[in-house]
Amino acid sequence: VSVERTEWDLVRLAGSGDKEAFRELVERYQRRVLAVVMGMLHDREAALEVTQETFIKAFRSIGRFKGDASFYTWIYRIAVNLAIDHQRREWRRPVAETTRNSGNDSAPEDILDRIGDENPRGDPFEATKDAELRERVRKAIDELTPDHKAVILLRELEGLSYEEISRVMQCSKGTVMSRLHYARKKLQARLKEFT
Amino acid sequence: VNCREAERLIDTFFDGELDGRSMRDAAMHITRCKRCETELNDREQLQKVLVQAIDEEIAGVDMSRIWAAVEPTLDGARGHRLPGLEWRSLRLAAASSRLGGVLLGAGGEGRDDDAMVADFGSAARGGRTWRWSLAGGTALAASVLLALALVGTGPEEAALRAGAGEVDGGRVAAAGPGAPAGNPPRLAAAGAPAARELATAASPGAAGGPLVVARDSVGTVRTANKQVQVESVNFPRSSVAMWSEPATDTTVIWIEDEELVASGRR
Repeated sequence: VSVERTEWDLVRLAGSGDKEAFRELVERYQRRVLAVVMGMLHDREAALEVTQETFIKAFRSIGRFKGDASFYTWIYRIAVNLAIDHQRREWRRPVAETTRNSGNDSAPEDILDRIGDENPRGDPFEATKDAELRERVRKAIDELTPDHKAVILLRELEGLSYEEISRVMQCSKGTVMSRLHYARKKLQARLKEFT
Repeated sequence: VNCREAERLIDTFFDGELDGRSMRDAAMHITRCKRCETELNDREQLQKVLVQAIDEEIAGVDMSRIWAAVEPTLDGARGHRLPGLEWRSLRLAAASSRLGGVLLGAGGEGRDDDAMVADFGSAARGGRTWRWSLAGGTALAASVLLALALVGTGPEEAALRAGAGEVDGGRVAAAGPGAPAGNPPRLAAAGAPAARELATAASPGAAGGPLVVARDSVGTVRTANKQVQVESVNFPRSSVAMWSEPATDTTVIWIEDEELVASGRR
């Protein structure tokens, strides 16, 4: 009979050096962490790197995790900070060095090809429009500051409450609300231009 | 609720962050007002597109790559080994934060998002004694986190591993009873008011292994892998110093409180 261990059990075990327990935590949260980091960086390799670094850092510090916040807000905090650091480093680099290698900054032709592959039986016009819309959203996200990005991704992708986001971002709930409002307005304006 | 108020509430309404009464008022307005309903639909549409966009981006990612990259680093992730340093020549890096505490770690490794970290590691490698002060801080809440990366080789390291991680009652002392070959290392954590007692207590145990001693009044000590951490110091204005005493093969962490010294209670 297998008994599912609670998150706190896993955290405690991982804190005492149990790698298997930590592996379980990684597997529980890796997709969610990657989604947020990907949303911030839009670069597959960079996002993977930051996600890996997040878990390595988490393992280093997990012994000091007191459980006064939930594990996922703690791990998001590490991930968001690392993603912001990464982005700032990228911004400081000369333009020639910042060429992305993810294949996610697709040209419109690539999008059309991709959609053709993904939706062989769907309405190609609608599918293309959707793909372009998503591409536009990604670009619009890129125009936001890292803090605005993080707030909207934590809310829309992960469904964190304002309180949880304020803990992750270490800012007030009021700041979360104003950042969220600004980010939504900006993204909606971009969407409106398109539709 | 009119349109102006609804617009102010629409984010919190959409996010389910309104209290019951405001939720009901906003809902009543939105269901009757075309403009506000459109605003709400825009929020939903944005959320949908955003989720789709990110899902699409991570769809092809092989998640197993994450653990595959993380796993090999874990052995070294806690209690880092400093290259070229042996157990006898303990070295430390240090960090301090008025509120967050102080972290002493090896060579700047073991950084942590929970503490402000200043790296004293490279200078510490020069074998000098380090001393610094915690500026201010509040009594009891003044938090000091010292982490000593205890670096050992061969049997000494094995002994250290055997003895690490023991905490007496989770509060006071941690002693490593390993049985290293040769001259065993010892470690003493000392608080100013209790220096004499600690000096006595820090004499080698019967097993001759690494010995870590701290008084409850000094702070909380715990061990984790090859680290000794003093997580809190119950003095408002503490200074911390560390040095090696090769003659006795002892590394001393000295925690001193300025107010106690000034009041002559030391």
